[in-house]
Amino acid sequence: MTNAVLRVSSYAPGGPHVLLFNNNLPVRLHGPGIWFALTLRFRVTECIERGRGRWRVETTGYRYSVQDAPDHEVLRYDWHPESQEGGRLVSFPHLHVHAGRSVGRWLHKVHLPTGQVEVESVLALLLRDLGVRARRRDWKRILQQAGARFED
Amino acid sequence: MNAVRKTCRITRLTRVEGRAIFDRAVRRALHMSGAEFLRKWNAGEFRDPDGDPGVMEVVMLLPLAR
Repeated sequence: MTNAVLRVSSYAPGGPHVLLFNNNLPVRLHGPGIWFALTLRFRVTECIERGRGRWRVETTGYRYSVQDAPDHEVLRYDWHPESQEGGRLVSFPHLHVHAGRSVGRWLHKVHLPTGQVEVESVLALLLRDLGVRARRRDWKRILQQAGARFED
Repeated sequence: MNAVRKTCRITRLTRVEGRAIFDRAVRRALHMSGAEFLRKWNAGEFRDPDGDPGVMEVVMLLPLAR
């Protein structure tokens, strides 16, 4: 796909540290006109399990950005639970879809990987982000009790 | 992210390089300096950061600036 290289901010125990791809610049992949940007956050912790090596690297956030031109995003997979400062960001893994040039050309036929998504989370999406009106005022409490992943 | 092959070494950024990459990313994505972004971020001036690809690109790099 590419010869671009990865670099890390640190290997020291603790973190968060950052893994950069191509010094944080979007990379044009071999093939069709698709650019890709990747940033990972990770922590280094001492491993307590026997036989698994002394140190463990744990991913604590990611940003996978698929673009149809440099800095023109079509898709972005986000997970940034440690960037929650002030509660301004959602903490669960999610996907953003933007109206890039390529949307009509290939988005309808690709299979976007996701984890298992509960119907409660989709109902929360409809109510919170898309402005659908609930018949009950306590819909947030009900959906949270049912396990929906969303935040105010 | 388990394995790094012995033939494939991932190099480490210096602190200076990390800060330069952070500052460059802020200027490219948001047309301001890294210091200005940090001030605005800490003051909560970004209303919908999750919906702005440029802000989220920079937010992921915050450990480079701290």
